[in-house]
Amino acid sequence: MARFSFNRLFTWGVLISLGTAFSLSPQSPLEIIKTSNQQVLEIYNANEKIDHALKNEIIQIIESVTDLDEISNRTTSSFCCNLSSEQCAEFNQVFKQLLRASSMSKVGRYRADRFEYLEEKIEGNKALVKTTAYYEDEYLTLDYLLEYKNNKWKIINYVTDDVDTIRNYRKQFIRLFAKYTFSEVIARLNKKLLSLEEEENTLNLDNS
Amino acid sequence: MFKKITDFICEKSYRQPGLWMLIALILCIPAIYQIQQVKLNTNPLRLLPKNSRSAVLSRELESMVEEKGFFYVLLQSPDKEKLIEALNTAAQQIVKIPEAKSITFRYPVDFFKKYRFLLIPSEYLNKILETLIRWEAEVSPLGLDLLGEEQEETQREIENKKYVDQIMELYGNLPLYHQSKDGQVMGITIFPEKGLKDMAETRKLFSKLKKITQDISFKYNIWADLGGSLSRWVNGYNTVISDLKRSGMIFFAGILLILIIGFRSFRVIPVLLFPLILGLLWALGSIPILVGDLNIITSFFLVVSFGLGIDFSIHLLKRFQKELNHQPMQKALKITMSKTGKSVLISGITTAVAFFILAWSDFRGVSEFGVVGGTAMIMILLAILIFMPATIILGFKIRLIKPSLPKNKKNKRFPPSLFFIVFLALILVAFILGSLMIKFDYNFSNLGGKISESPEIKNKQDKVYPTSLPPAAVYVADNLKTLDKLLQTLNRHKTSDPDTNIGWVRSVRNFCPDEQETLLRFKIINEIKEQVQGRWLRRLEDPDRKKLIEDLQHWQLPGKQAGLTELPDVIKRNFITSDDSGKFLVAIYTAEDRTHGKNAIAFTQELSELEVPDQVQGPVGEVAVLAEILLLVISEGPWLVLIAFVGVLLLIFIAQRSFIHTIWLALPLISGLALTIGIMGVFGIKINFYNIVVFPALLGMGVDDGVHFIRRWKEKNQHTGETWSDLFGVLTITTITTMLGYAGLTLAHHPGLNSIGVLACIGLSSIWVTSLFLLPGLLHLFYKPKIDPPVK
Repeated sequence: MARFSFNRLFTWGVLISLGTAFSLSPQSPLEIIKTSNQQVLEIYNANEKIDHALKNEIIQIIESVTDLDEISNRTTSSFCCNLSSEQCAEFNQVFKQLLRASSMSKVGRYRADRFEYLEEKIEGNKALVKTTAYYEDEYLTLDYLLEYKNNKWKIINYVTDDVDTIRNYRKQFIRLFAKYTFSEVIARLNKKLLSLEEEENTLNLDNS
Repeated sequence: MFKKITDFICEKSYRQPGLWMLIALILCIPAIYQIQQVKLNTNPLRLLPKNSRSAVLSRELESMVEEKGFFYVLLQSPDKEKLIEALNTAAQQIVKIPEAKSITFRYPVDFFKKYRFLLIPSEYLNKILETLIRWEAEVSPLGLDLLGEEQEETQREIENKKYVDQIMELYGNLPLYHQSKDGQVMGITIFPEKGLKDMAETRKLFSKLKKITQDISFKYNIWADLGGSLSRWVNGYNTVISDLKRSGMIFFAGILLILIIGFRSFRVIPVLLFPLILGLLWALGSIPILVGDLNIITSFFLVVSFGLGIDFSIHLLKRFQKELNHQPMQKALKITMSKTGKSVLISGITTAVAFFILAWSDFRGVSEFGVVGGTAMIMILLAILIFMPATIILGFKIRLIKPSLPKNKKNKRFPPSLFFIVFLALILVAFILGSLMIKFDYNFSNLGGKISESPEIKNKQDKVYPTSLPPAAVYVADNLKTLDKLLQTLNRHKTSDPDTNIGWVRSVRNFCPDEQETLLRFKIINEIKEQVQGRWLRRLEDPDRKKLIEDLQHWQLPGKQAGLTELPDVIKRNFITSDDSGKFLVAIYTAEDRTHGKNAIAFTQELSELEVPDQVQGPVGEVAVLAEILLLVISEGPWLVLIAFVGVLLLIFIAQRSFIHTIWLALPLISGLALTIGIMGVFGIKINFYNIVVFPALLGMGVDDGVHFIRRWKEKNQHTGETWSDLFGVLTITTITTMLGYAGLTLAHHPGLNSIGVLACIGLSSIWVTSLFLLPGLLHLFYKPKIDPPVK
C-alpha cells in the first residue's frame, strides 16, 4: 500500500467537501462539508482506482461548489494595483487555470478513512468549518472558509495544518513579481500549467 | 684585428701560463663572495615588472593586506580525548615558535551561536525564506511550488547554494575545535611572521612545525602532518631545488660521459672545464648586482649556461687537437684561437644577443632570463677566449692533451637530391600541421609554483577546512563609508552584468552590515520566524529540513546586530588591515574557475574597468598577478621571438658580410624551429608562460651549429663532405651537451620547468637534424667544391 501522506488526506477531505456542497444547498456550511465528505468517500470506497472519468466527476463537483473565481481574485487582487486591467484579467485567468490543473493532478491520489468535525463558526456571510482528517494513526487539521453568495455557501479558502492556501500563493507571487516582469511571471505560470497538463496526460495514457 | 688579439694572448700565455692561471683565480674571489648573496624567489609577483599595476599595488598595500599564507597542522585519531590533548600540546609548542605570528584552533562558538542567522547576508536569508515558502507549498495538497526553477541551475546558482549550505552547516554545527564532521581530524592554523616575503624564514617555520607534528605523532601514536598554502609553497620551493639538483646531477654525469666518449680521454676534462667554470663563477657572482635574486625561470641558468659554454671549449680543444697533427703546439694554438676562436666568438655573441633581446621584455621572468643568460654567455666567452690558451698550454705540458687520431678522409656520400626535397617538404607539412594544432596553455594549475599536498593530506585538510581558498582579489577601503560605497559599486555591477566574472564578495559587512542591510536581515529573519510556525512543520520528513526548522525556532534573535568591537579576531583578521591603520578589506572571489588563465584575465580586466570610489586601493591578489603575467606573455611573446630572430640574422650578416651565407646559416635555424612547432602541435605540447622563453633562446643556441658549419665549409673551399666529416662529431657532442643542460629539467616535477626542458630538447634536436642533414645536403646539392681540400 502506498505510504500515507497528509497531503493525500487533506486533498481528499477538501475534494469531498467541495464536491458535496453544491448538491445540498442551501445547507449549513458544516452540513455541506459533512455531506460532501460522505459523497466523495463513497466514490473512493467504490473504486479502488480513480480513473480519468472519476476524476472528471469529482472535478465537476468541485467546480460547481468552489468559488474558484473568488480564490483566484483573493490571491491576485493585491497585485493588480500594479498591473493594467488587461494584465490583471490575464493573471487571474491563468492562475484560475492553474488552480484547476492543480486540483486535477491531485485528485485520486489521496484518501482518508474518517473525519472529525470540530466547529462551525458563522459570521455574517462568512463561515469557518474546522475539521480533522484521519488516516490510520495519523491526522491533519482542515479548516474551510466559506462565503455565502447567491444563496449558496461556497468554499473560498482552506487552511491545512495552519497553511493558508491563498496566503502561501500570495507569498510566492510577491517573490515572483519582485524578480520577474509581468510577462515573465505569466510565462512561468503557463509553463507550470503545461507541465501539469502533460503530467496528467501521461497518467491517463498509463492508466488506459 | 681578432687574430692580433688572439695571437697576443697566445704568445703571452705561452710565456707565463702559470701567471695567467693565477690572475684567473684572483678574479674569482669577488665572484665567490657575491655568489653567497644569490637567493631563489619563487613568488609569481617576482616575475612582473616593478611598475606593473599588480606589483605597484602589492607594494603599496603590503603592510595592510597579509598575503603571507598559512600552515595547517593536521592531526587524526579515532580517540577524541587523545586527539584534543594532542591538539592542545601541539598548540602550546607552536605558539613558542618565533617565526609563527599567531595560531588559531578554536572557533568563536559563542559569537556564532549568538548572531548565527544575523550573519547571513539578506540575499541568502531571502533564499532560506523562499525555500521555506516552497516547502509550505509542497506540504499543502492544493498548493503549488511556483518558485522552483525548472530549468537547470547555472554553475553560479549551484555555487551560491553550496555556499548557503556551507554557512548554514558551519553556523549551525560549529564545533569548538577546527575539526572534521566526524571529529576524527583536527587542525591548527598557523599564521607566519613573514610568510611569502621571506622564504628562508618560512622554510625554518616549516621545519619546526614538521618536527612538532612528528613528535606529536610519536608521543600520542596518532597521524599528524602539515598542510596549508605555505606548505604548498615550501613544497613547491623544495621541488624546484630538488629539480635543479637532479637536473644538475644528470647534467654533470651526462657531460662527463659525453666528453670522455667524445675525446676518448678523461684527462682533457680539467682543460675543458677550467675556463668555463671561471666564466660561470663570474656570471653567478654578477646575479645579485644584475637582478637581485633568481626567479623560477632564471633558476636553472647555471646548467643551461654550462651546456652552452662547454660547446666553446669543445670546439677549441677539438680544433687544437686536430691542428697538433700538422703544426707545432704554439702555432696550432694560434690557428685554433684565431679560426675556431672566431667561430666561437660569433656564435657566443649571437647567443648572447638573442638572450639580451629578451631583456626588453616587461615580463621579468623572461627579461631576467635574458640578462642573466646573455651576461653568462659574455662572461664565459671572455673567460674562454682569455684563459683557454693558458689552460691548453698547461694541459699540453702536463700531457693532458694529445693530438687527435687521424680520420678517414673519404668524402661522405650524400643521399640523392630528392631526399632533401622530401625532407624540406616534411618540415613544411609538420610546420603547417603544428601551427594549426599548437595551443597556449591557459591553465595555471598546470604550471603553478605550488605543488599540491599528497592526496592523504589534502583529503584530511578538506575535511577540516573545506573553504580555505584565499580571495582572488582584495580591495582596501579607508573607512566604513567608503567600504559601503565600494560594496554598492560591486553589487550594482554584479546585478547589471549576468555574465560577470566577479563571484562572492566578502567584507566585514557580512558580519556587521550597514543599517539598511541590518534592518533587512531583521525583517527577513522575522518573516522566517513567522514562517516556521504552524502544524505543517511536523509533516516535514527530511531530517535536514527538520533540523533547520528546529534551529530557526529555537534561536533567539538578538536585540541588535554584532558591532565591530564584538567581532572575534579570527574574523577581523580577514577583513581588517593587518597594520594599525584600521582600514577595511573587501575579499573578492571569481565566479568561474580561477586557475584558467582566460577567466583570470577576464576577472582582472573587469575589476580594472570598475570605477571604484576614491579612498579605495587595490585590487591585489594572486589572480591579478597571474593574469598580468599571461597578458604580458601573450602580447610580448611573438614580438620577442621576431626581434630575437632579426637580431640574430643581423649579427650573422655583420659577421659573414654575405647575404647568401646569412640565408644558408639561417636555414637550419628556421627549418629547425618549424620542425619544433610541428612536433609540438602533433604531440599536443602546449606553449605556456614558462617555455615561451625557449623560443628566443633557441634562436641563439641553434645558430651555433650553422655558424661553425658554414665557416668551416668556407675554410674547406665549399667541400661539404670534408666539412661534414670534420664537424659531425663535434657538433653532435656540443648539441648533446647543450641539450643536457635542459634534459634534466624534463624530469623536473615543477610543471613550468619541465615544459622548458621538454621544449628545449625538442628544439635543439630539431636544429641538430636540420644543421647536420638538411644544411649539408642542400649545400652539397647547390655548391661544388672550388678546389680540392688542401693536402694535410
